[in-house]
Parts: sequence; structure tokens; C-alpha cells
Amino acid sequence: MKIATMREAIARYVHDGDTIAIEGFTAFICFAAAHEIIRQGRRDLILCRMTPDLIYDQMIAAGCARKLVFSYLGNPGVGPLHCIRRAVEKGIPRPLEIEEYSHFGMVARYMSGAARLPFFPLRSYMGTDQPKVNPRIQFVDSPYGNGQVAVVPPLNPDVTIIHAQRADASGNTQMWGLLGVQKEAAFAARQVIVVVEEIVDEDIIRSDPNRTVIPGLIVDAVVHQPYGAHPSYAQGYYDRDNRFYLEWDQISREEATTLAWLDEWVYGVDDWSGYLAKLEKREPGIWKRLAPGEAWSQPVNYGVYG
Amino acid sequence: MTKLSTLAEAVASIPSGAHVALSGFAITRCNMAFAREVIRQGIRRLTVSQCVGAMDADMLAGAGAVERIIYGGGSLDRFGRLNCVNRGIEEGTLVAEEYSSLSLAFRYLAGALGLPFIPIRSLRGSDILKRLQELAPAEIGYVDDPFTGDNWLVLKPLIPDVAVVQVQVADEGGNAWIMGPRWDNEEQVKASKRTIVITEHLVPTEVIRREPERTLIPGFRVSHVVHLPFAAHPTSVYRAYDYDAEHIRHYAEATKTPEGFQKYLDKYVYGVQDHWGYLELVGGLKHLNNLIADPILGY
Repeated sequence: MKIATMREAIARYVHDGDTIAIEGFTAFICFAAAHEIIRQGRRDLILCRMTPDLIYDQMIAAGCARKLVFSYLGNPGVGPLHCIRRAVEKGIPRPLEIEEYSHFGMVARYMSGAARLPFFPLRSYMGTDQPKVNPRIQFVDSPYGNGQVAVVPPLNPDVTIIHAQRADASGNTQMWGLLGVQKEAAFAARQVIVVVEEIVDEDIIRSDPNRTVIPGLIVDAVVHQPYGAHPSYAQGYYDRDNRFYLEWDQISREEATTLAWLDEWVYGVDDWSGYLAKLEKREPGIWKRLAPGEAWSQPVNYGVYG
Repeated sequence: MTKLSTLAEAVASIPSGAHVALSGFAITRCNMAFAREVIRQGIRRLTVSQCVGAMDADMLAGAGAVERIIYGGGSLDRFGRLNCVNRGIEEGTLVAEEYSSLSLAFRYLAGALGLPFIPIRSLRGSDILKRLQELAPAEIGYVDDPFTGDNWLVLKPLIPDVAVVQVQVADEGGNAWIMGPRWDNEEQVKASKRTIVITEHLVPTEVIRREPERTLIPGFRVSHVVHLPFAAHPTSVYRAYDYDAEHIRHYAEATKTPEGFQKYLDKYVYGVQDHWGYLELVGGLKHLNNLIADPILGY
């Protein structure tokens, strides 16, 4: 049985010192998992992500991480990530090692990890200073005489956590909308937790096989957590809460206000239901405000064969 | 911008000697109408690549249109071997570069990403690699992994002149969906210099836009869109029609000898003017109707 509560899944699979990837590009960012990791007091994590976003800013503010492996650091469209900046510049709440790539550099690391390759070549980094500060970006001459190319090593997280619209009880996971590097990050990981808006019958998954991004055979735990990506979004379920991204810029400017926020919204609740209850109490119309409306896709006929 | 063309126009854009990547896999989504038209137009000396050798490649090879095949083995699935490909190899008229299917998909992937090489875990310690080294030594290289010092096999990108892809749904601009299994098709298209899309259904662009993540082939890669129902007959197209077992059995039998295959070609390729003539010859609507995936019932 792979179905677990968030508390069970994090307790079972995320350990101090682990390398963790919580992926999802702009959309599907699983704050519910991050908050549970913070609540359970994990330490010394190596956090990996394309765009650390608010999710890692919060985890780093809570002292969960010793290292960040990433591409593009920022509160998208708003400004810098103040907590990560404090950790890097001042060691608050603890020193943070950073390892920076371009976006495609991170994709290449996950691809290499997923295919169990020694490295992955990419036509990036030439003429940039990034290799000077990141020794894991190397250059190799092609044996075919067609030039030199950058290579990056595989990234194999201990645990990858993915948020998606739906999965069945075996973990066959379907997503639609803006996808990121979830498939590669999941295949690269030793263990995979999927967090979904809905758990559905296997029949529903089978009715549309091309939407299955992550097959159940690589999934260890399935967590049912509606609205688990707030303030990020899940296509067709709720929109991005841009107000919170703006608020976070103010909250996170000072260590004290950040810790007060964590006390209230993370440590001060038992679980994600507690967070959602607070959210709905603060703004009763929140899900109406974030409702994405309806734009249904046309069903397709796969036919019955053999 | 419309890229709609007739099959004859699309095929005429391919010069003899070109490298053509084919979308078929054994007896599924093969470019059969395309192969018949290539043969009718007398295009020769092609290099053909696909990760699993299929019926389209076999027919082209049998007709003498292919000089070199780059593939990962192949068959007519439960109907037998690729007799024409095998005969060509045995008689020395066809050069075969044999890979594993994955390693060929990796070569397309390297081409798609514009990489000078790509590492792979497959092939090492196999006779496939030994033979490739004898046949095409320039295609095999090694690099030292800068992170561990280990020596790794790296493959060259494969960049076909044109990918020819049988799809279920496309718009006039060439934005296309492939439903069901897709094997190496996405990497083939993105590695190739251009793509010819052959589609069962032609839909308005707004239908394509409704489900953006299904668009496997972006239109800007596409030079020609050919709207041609049953273009993969006698092979199958998921959700459109099943394979024609009787016809494939007949083909497998006919290709056992060069004479038998010649008779097959005379009847089904040279004996008809175009695809519509072919569809009439194989039994017309009455016969094809048995193969259709019924739009109401779904099978």
C-alpha cells in the first residue's frame, strides 16, 4: 500500500543529511511537503531544484539545509529570496553552501541521473563565469572532432517529491499544463513521493495513458493533499496566489518576521489541513479568488485493440 | 501558414541519396503510402534510420531504394522477419549499421539537443559494438569522464535530412499529436533537418491548442503536411485502425523470394496510380471498414 499521510511519507523517506528534490517549475510546487519537513525538524539536507522559489527560502529559513543545488534564484517577478541571501551572506540561521547551474544544466544533471549515465553533455556555459565558481561544470573534447562541450555529473536525489493533479493508488501519476523536470527528477531518485490533488481509480489513469508522466513502478508513497501546492498552483484546480508571493517579500526581509511567520503558519499547525483552515479563516473567499474557471479538453478515442 | 501538400509533392521534395528517418515500429504507424510513392517516383540510394526496423523500411529496401539502413534490428512482429532487409544484407546490396534500439534513440537525442556526442551505458561488451567498429569506425568514440576518470563510450549525433512521421492528428501548420506509443519519434523529428507529417486527421489549430502538452511535433519543424487516411495500411495506427493481418501475411509470404516480392510490387505499387487506387485494390471501403476503430464504440 503506497497511500500515506504526508506525516508518514516524510517520516519514512526523508532523513537528516538526505539529498532532496522537490520539483515543479512555476506550477506544482509542493509547499505541503516542505512544511511537513520543517515541522519534523529535518537538518543538513541538500536541497535541489530548478528555481528554489519560496519553498526553499522557507526551508532554509527554518534551518533544514546545509547546501542548495539550483538554477535561477529569485522570487519570480517580485525580487530576491531574502532568507537564502541571509544564509549565504551571513550564515543565518546557518551557513549554506551553494552550487549553481543554468536551468538546462539542472535538466542535464537529472537526465544523466535518470539514465544512470556518468555525465551529460550540453552546449552551455561557454564564455560564462559559471564554471569558475562551480567545479562540477567541466569541459570535454569530442572524440569526433566536432568541438568542445560542457558536461555535468548525474544528480540522483535520495528522495524526489512531485506534486500532480491525480494518481491512482499504485502511484501512476498524471499531469497536464506547464510541466517541468518532474519525470527526470523522479526517475533519477532512489525514492519518490507523489502528492496529488485527487486519488483516482486505475481505470481513469488507463483511459488516457499518454498523460501518465510518472509510472507507479518508481513511486514509493502517494499522498492525497488537495491544495498542497498553495501558493503555487495546480493547472485546472487553482491558480497561483500571487498576493502571497508579494507578501513573502515583506515577511522574509527580516529574520524575526520570517520566524514569526514560520511559528504561526508551519509550527503552529498540526498539518496541511491546519494551514488550509487558517488560510480560509483569513480569507474566506480565497478558493473563489484562485478558481481557474473551466477549459475542458476534448476527450480522445484510443480505440480497443487486440 | 499552410503546409498542406499532396503525398506526391512531399515525396518529390526528397532527393536520391537523402537520409530519411521513418516513424514506424515493426507493423505499427509505418509510412507505407510514403514508401509506395518513393518507389513509384524512383528515388534511390536512401539512407534509412529507425530504432526498430519496420515494414516501411523493408519495402523500400526490397525495391532497391535503400543503400544504407541504420537501425536496432526489426521484424514484422508476429508475421515474420524483414525478408527484404535481411536479403539485402546477405547479398551485400544493403549496408546495415546495427545498433540497439536505445542507442539509436540516444543518437537522435544527441542530434535533437545539438550535442557533439552523447554517453551511453549500452553496447559495451557486445558484438554489436564490435561489428560497428569494423563497419563504421568513425562512428565510435570514447571520452574520459572528468568526474571519475572512467573511459566511456560516446555516440555520435544522428541528423537525418528528413523525418517522415505518421501521426493521428495535425493542423495545417504541422503541429501534430501522436497517440499511444511514440518510441523514438520525438527525438527523430527534433534531430532531423525537417519533417514530413502524414496525418489521419486534419484539425483546426484551435483544436491543437486546446491540449498543448499533446503536441509532440511543433509545426516549425515541419515542411509538408499530408492529409491521407489509411496511409499506414496494412500496418496499424492506434485509435484509427488495426493492422490488416491478411495483407501482412501475404506480404511476408511474397517477400520470401525476390520474384514473389517483384509480383507484389507490380500489383500493389506499380499497378496503381496513387494511394486511392491502392485502397480500392486492397478491398476498398468494404474491406477497410473492418479495420477502422469505430468512432462511436471506440474499437
